[in-house]
Amino acid sequence: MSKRQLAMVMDLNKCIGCQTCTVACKTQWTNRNGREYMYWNNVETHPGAGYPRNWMEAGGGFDQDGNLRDGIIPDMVDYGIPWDYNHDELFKGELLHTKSELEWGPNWDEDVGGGEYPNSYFFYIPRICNHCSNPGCLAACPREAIFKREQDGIVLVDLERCQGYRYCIAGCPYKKIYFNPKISKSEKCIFCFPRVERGLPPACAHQCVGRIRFVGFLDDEEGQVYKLVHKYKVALPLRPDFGTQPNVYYVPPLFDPPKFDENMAPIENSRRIPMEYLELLFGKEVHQALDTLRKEMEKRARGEESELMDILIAYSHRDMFRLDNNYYQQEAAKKGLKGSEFFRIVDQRYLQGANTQRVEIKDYTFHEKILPQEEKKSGH
Amino acid sequence: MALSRRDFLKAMSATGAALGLGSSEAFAKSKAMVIEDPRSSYPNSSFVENMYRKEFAYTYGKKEEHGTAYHCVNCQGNCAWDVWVQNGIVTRENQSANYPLLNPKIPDANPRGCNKGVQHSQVMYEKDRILYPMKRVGERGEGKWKRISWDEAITEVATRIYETMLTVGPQGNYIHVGSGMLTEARAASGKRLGTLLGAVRPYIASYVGDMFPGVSLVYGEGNIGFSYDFVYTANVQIWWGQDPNKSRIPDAHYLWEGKYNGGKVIVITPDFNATAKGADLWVPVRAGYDGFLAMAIINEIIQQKLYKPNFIKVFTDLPFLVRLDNKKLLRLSDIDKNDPMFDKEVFHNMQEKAHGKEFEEHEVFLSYNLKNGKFTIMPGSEGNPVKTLRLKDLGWDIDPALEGVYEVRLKDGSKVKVTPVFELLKEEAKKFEASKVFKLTNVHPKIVEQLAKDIALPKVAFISMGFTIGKYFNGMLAQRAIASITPLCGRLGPYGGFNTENEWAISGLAKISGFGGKYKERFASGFVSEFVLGNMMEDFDRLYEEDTFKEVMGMSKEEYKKKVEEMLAKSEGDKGIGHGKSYWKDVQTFLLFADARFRRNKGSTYKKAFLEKAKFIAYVDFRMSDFANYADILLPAKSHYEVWDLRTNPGYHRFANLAHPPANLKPVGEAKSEWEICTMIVEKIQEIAMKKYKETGDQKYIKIPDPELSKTGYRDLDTLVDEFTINGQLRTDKDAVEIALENTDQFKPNTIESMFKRGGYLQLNEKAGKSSPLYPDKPYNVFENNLFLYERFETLSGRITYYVDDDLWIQMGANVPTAKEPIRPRKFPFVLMTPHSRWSIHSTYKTSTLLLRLQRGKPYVMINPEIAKKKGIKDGDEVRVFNSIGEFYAMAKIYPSCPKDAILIEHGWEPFFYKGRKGHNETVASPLNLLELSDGWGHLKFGGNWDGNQHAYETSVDVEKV
Repeated sequence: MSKRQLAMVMDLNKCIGCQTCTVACKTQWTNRNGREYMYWNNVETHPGAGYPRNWMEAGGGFDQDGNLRDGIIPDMVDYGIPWDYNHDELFKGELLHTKSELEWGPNWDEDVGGGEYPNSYFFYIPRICNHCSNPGCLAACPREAIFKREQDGIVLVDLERCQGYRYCIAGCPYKKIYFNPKISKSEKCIFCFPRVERGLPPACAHQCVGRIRFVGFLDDEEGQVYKLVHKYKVALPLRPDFGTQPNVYYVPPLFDPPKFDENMAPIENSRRIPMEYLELLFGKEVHQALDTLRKEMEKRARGEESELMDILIAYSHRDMFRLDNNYYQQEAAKKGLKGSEFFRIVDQRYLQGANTQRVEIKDYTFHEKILPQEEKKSGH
Repeated sequence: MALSRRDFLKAMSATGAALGLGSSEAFAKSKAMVIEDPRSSYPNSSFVENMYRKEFAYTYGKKEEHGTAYHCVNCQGNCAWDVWVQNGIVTRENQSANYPLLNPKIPDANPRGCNKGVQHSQVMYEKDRILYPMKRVGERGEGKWKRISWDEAITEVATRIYETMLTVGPQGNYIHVGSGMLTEARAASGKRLGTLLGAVRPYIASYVGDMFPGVSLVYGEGNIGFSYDFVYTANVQIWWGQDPNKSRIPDAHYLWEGKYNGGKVIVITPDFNATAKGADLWVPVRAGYDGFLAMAIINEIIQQKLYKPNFIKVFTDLPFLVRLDNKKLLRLSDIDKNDPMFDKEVFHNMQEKAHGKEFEEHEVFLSYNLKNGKFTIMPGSEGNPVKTLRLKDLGWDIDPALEGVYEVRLKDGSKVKVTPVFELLKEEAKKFEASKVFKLTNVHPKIVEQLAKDIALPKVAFISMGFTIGKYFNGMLAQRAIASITPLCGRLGPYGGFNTENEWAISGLAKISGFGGKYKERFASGFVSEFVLGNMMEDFDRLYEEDTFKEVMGMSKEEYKKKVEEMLAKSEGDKGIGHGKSYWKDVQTFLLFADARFRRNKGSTYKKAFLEKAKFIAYVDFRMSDFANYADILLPAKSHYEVWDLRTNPGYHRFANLAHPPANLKPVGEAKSEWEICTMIVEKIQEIAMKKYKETGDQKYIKIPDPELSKTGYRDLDTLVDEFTINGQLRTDKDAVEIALENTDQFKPNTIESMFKRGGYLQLNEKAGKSSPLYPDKPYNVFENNLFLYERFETLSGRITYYVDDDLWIQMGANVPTAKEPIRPRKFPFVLMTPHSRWSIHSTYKTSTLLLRLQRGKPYVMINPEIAKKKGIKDGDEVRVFNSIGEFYAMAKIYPSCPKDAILIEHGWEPFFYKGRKGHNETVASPLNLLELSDGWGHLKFGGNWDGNQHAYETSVDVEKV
């Protein structure tokens, strides 16, 4: 096991499906160099086929005995072949059209979901690499070219060593590792470690306008990630049955309006999203998690204090990220990289963590003034 | 099948032909490296780590070279971005995310932004970018262009504008900044130019159909509301005809954080939309019947006595008396002041308070005072010099009756029966009793009961109304009915109330928009101008059915058309100024900025009619929009990261953002800022005019008569440059930003440098609040000054207005809030709804490859699965959508959240996405609503708060598989 594990929690109740994360990731990493078809971060509507299409049925991961399950490499069509347009021909009076047929795309079934009008339902699941503790990709790689970073558990492909065999793709049950046809090697979400090392949260999390993403170390007991995952147990891994022990966690969807009966009267206490579906996604723990959320919301509605609600509301965007840069700087120092172009801090706002106490920053040019941090009091 | 890892590999190599590897040689390429467990440590991590680190460093560039920006488009989100740059090329953008936490108990505004703003860096270098000035060399629309120099282009544009001024007059020119560029500094360029030259300038909010005339009627202004952090504090949030998860992406978090905070979220829309999916209650109102639902709620509130009498007596016109003989409001000018029933004492006391100011008696209204049983005048109305709404402690004590019928003596001695407006409202609302209108609204009476309680009982509750409501033909009435609900329950200020969109008071911008009062703008009605330009009555004729129209409107189509013509005749041209919705028919020379009008305008006749009337079209934009294809001259504009700019309104938040180009940014083609372009045009016009003048010595070449709108009686072309540039101070986009910062009180104390350092924004100071104080640590809400200080509203009554006694309104039964059905033809079974998309701001960013890949790549219509099955339509099929005026082709998307009587297509797709260049608006007619057209009653006078809408939702269609 890596020494520490950096993790992310995504609150599906706050996710608005806007895909700012998807596009932020795209411009940060995947709009070039053979990665065009890849969405290291995607957002999919559930119930739905997801990205790549039907990934949940594509195998990989581990069985109950810890053996790798059979898996397939999705067809390019299932990823959605990235289509291009004839923008230049608009100057010739042409219509704007794609240069290839449109068959499927990474968000093809956006907002479709399930049920029937007026009782339809849908919700969004943003997905990045889970940076699993027991990665299927890593286990499947015959070259042992996939590894977890010792310092933070981020899963990387050693591109010097990777030979592009693609076993990893079959082995990952989330299909979150991709073959780069341009370099004939596998690539995947890197949790934006070069940003993290320099003080910026991952693009998908930092730029999430729904404010659904928390980033921090799982052993940082003061951090929101630890509290949501371990203290309140409201954040659960996706498809825990795949056996890879993901380090991305989800607060399951509780927000769900009542259904209507045949006379169009609302049915009290009814849910649209079937519990069986949530169980499939998040395991039996989902009941407990939803119960806890419900109870804490009720408490809050009564005007009582709730630390859990305070965390999920997330008053200050900055506080959603605890990147612990003392720790990264120490690690960099060990490798002689501290202060190098790779470790020069570019943003001072997100540096706190278990090894980094919040400090008053005086000479940060991006800020005219940083508001003093109030003592956190829970409740209204 | 359970396999060990080794077996798995074997299986893969045996079955996976694509892999084709597995022999041991393949593993021997690089040196042997012993790896015990790559899950805990790895000997050589630095190769790949450094690769990605370098890649990040490349995209990040140098902090000191970064720019700041926002995207000056019609989403009005206004978010501060940090623009990353490498070697003078923008690599990507990242939200600055540096807005302050105003209150530790209310979530901050970070990281404002969205999926569209986050990819502008990709679009700015797309191949549809207009790089050089170009001149059309083929037929219009044929796509044949010749690159020309800036000087050639400007000369042609200036010459055409000048010649038009000489031959037709200033009103022959039409200079307009479209909704692709909404901002304070940048958009001011074209507007200033238009005002200077006396060109026609149509009202944007009206023609795009984003006005709230029904709200203006009630509150005196249409754009009212809170900053979105207020949402967090509400006990009940009601989102009516709105989908903030899609259309207010940067602010949507406040809804769900508010829900965690104990708030209840209610969504009222025909489709189960992206916001409804997380609501506590979704109300599936039938498309076009929002007004009926609103009236049902009003009825429920009145019947269950959930209204607040003490509030409505003071703050609304509900106690005002109405004559039962003619349905007119009882005015001071009507009555016999010597009648002992007239409350002379109050009148006398108010006269004293008026300090000699005159009472305009026809705008002074009366109520029946329960304190003394007399008819008493009410303070605060337009004609009463006493401007407070206070009913006591100032020398009078009025407790106006809300109910009852009284008899009053008129000047001529006759007696008439009068009753308070409240009685009439109560009577009208009864017609809409929830169980009676259930069949029309699709909303169960139980829900109406619940809504009434949710609006009346909690501490803080609001209704936020979206733009869709105004997009129905009778949507203005629905807007009015919805806006009329919350005041019954006493909701203003911190207690919630009604929200459309807040506007900050920003003073001092007149310096960059105006000319010290010398010139007035030729301000034209938006919806009327487009209607006339596009011969849109033809579509009305062909789409609407005689019997449906007559049933709903109580008049035949012919009668309607005659009435429209009559009304339009009054307000045409210069002589029509002040007599209704201004418009000018003889426009022929067009200079348009960021205005994709063929995408936006409704109907099948508009394009042809427009192109026939437009003798010359110069178009300024950064990209080749569908409309650009029809221009005669194309001028390349800079896009959002290349310009200096400043933006505040609307007031979703309290920050003004700064566009500050990155240092050392490489120019994109020969693009110029709009300010530079306008300055060049002005210089050229003056040059040409002066030349002509010097040649002939004739003043007419430099003095263009404009008696109506110029103080000197002329547009003075010999001083054009000095006037436009304020003697050289205002020539560029950066000049405009600097002048705006210097002259605007609400921005102080700030400079470009202080804004840039902070991450590209400033925080408005306390002076920015219009009808409430802007407290430093509390969300902004609306009308606190009215509620606590008894300030009057900007309405005829001085109050929240329920009653309109204009003749036409009385004739159409709209003197009190009411609802009317849609007029869409019944022979086509599906109402066509075109909501805002998550993926574009109208047409802006619709052509983004990155974003199109996250949709279906081309226009698609959403169809209910049951309907699709009946029609034999499968997901992905091409379908034809049609009615009697037009058709369009699109991909079918089977969509369970679509009602069975509707077809959804997100709007914004430009015609060039569609087969035959026929967009979905080909099937939409947009007739003028007579009430929206009416003008002159009280505060219903043509202007920014009282124009009308184009109606995007007033059509029905059928669909078939191709």
